Amino acid sequence: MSSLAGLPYLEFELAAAQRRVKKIKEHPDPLKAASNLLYYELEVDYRSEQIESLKSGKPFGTIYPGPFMRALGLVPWDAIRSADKSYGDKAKRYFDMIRAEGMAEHTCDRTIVMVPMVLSGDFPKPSFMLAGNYTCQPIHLAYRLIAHTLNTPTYFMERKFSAWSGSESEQELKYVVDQYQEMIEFAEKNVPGCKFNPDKLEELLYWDNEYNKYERLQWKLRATVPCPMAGRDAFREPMYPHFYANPAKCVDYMRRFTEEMEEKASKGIGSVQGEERLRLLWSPTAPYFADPFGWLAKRGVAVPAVEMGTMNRRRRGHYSAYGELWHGRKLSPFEEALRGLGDSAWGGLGHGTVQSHIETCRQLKLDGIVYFLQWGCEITNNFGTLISEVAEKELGIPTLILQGRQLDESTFEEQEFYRQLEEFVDICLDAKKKRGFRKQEHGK
Amino acid sequence: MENKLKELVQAVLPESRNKWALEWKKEKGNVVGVLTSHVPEEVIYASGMLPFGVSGSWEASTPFASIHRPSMSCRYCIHVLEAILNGELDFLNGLVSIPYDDDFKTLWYLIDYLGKPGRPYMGTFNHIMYLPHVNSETTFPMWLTSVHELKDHLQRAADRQISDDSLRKANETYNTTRTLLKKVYELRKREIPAITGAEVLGLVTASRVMPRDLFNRSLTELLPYLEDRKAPLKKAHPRVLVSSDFLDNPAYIDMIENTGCVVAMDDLDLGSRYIWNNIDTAIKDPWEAVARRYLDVTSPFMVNWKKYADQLIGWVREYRIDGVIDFRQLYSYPREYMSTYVVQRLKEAGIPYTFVRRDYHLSGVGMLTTRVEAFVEMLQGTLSNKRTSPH
Repeated sequence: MSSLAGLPYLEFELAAAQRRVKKIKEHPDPLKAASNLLYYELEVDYRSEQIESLKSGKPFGTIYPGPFMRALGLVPWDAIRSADKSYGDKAKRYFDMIRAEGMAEHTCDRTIVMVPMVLSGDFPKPSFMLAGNYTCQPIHLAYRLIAHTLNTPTYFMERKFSAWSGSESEQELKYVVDQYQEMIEFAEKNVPGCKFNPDKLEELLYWDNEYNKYERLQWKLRATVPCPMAGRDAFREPMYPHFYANPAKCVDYMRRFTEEMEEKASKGIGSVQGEERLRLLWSPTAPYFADPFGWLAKRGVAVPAVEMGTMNRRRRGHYSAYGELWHGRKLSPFEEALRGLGDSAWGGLGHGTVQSHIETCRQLKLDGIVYFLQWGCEITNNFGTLISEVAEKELGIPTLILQGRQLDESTFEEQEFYRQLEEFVDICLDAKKKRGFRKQEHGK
Repeated sequence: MENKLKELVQAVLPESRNKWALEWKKEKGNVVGVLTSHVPEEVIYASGMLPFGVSGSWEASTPFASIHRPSMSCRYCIHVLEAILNGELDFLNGLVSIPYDDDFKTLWYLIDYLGKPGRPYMGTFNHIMYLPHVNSETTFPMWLTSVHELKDHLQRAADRQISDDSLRKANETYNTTRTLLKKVYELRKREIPAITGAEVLGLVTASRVMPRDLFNRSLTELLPYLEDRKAPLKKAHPRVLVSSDFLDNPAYIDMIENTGCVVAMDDLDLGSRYIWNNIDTAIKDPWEAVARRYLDVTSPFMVNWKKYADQLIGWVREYRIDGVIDFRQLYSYPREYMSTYVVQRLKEAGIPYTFVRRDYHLSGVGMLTTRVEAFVEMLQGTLSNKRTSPH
């Protein structure tokens, strides 16, 4: 594989982001957030850095958990995010390759699409891979497959999953810390260009924490009725400061986006067309080739949050903030960066996932849940019925369980998909009305 | 003796598999279900309880499980959930598992959730262990802690202590099983194996549902007979190796052998991989000894797929295998991902290979037979070319 494999992909993405910046500057859309300009400028910076690094031979490393990888001198290797953009004809091409090679065709789309993307040289080759059981299984399996096939230096990180309930112990934190120290030694020894910089880690933790402060503020604003955040924005996977060569610019984007939300909230401006009739939680993903959020917004239905991974726990302030005492003591920056790993519900047993759904609905005053069972998402697709039961019991709200794929359109039945959504909106409106009556009667 | 063999081989069938557990329950007490071959059963055995290898329901229909799980998730997990919900496993005092994959974790959480009210038989003994994916000196202490946690859990649940000596004895008993079964595997190396692949799977799975002492005695008695036996096979060539996980139904192997080949070796978690490594009884601390054995296994779960492929290729050479059938269980992703790498290694080693996806319960036999037949015919063609080639 050529050392410049994947360059055309990066250049294509850069050009797309540059076009978007130009369009926003020349024809700003008053209905969309003005901070979007900064968002796409960050995308330009991000892809530019990747292109320069590929040309100059700088090492690329996996994006989770990012601050460590940056502090090791690695440039983000975001094959999984790039796979997300491979719907339509691009996805079809990759699925043809997956089926022809007998690869895992029924698994999570984004994780398996990443494999032929990388193995065929469409996306740059990683220099170092950090995989671990803190992610869901398809991600670390795909990483392991790429690493074995391309003979990429790889370190596998373990956490003891029993801490999923939020009770990570000193022993469990030490377990993770010891492995990270081992991982750093391994990377410095096996990956040319890798050198751990503890000051850089501290700097990135600072910026990530500043970003998280805005995430927490935004979470409160999402609870406002009408909701000032659009469903599409809620669905957007966050790009943390450590992704960028200039992390301060990313925090600046979050600040400006939050200020826009604050302004809308203070003026009572929502994100849907007309009156906000309903508020739904979407979980955990959606078909990327469709636009259910726009469809719902046209019907006065807001989606203030999407429950994916552990992001909402972070936004709710589940994890203590940088610098706060943990188990009665101050943590080192190294420990700070890792303490959430053992406690992360993602890749855990389920309690954290179920409770997070309930907590989100409660805090954001939501009227229903759309649970999209994505093929092959083992960590979520067995919880649909369970979440539905708990949500009904604890909050009295209904759940719609939809089944489908993220990137492969071949199984998507558009009419049926929207018919079910339409019916569900009616059910939720009815349930909301009944809850209102009950509340009135109870009040009397 | 043939009847004795038959009785053991058929032990895992639904009509017989619970027999010993129910007797144990009546006479001795608790029975604990074990969900994967990664669980150190020796610890359960040392506690005076019967470890019972859990098969899922073998019925095609899974009405109870389907309420909770979509069909496109690990089929073994679905059929286990069905067996739990339809009452097949009511006699169990609990289950022990490791999080083999995310499907196992979600199965576990579901069992726990559903097991609360109205099902007091589950819950008390239920325990999920943490098993690292990496075998290293960094991960080993945490795995050892996990083994001790299992001990503590069982001690609390059964209200009895597990002594070092009782674990030493259990380690020896399980080593005896593995040694005896390895002797059976030796008999597969013959030109005409002493035993069919289906029978071997029957024997290994029998060890998981019978009390160990009884199984060891039965197999010890049977071995001299097997030494002189020739397996009742349609054809003794080509020699095939079947690779899979959660395959506990010998009828699947029968189906393969009926196409005109012999399954002369397997790479199954309930076959060779279940018995391959003994516990090093020279290690003074029996807890460390058992923990080291279970961290040093080859499995799609473990990170080191190179070691897995090396072992597989080693078996192909050692058992003079003509071709490998990757008999994947639908929606079981560790193998689905790993296979792409293993295929690359098999290709490099010049070993013929095919893959076929199957359900957990026996189904789609016609379609599967056609696919396996095509592979077997290809192997037969290659073998006959080799024989007739002047070179």
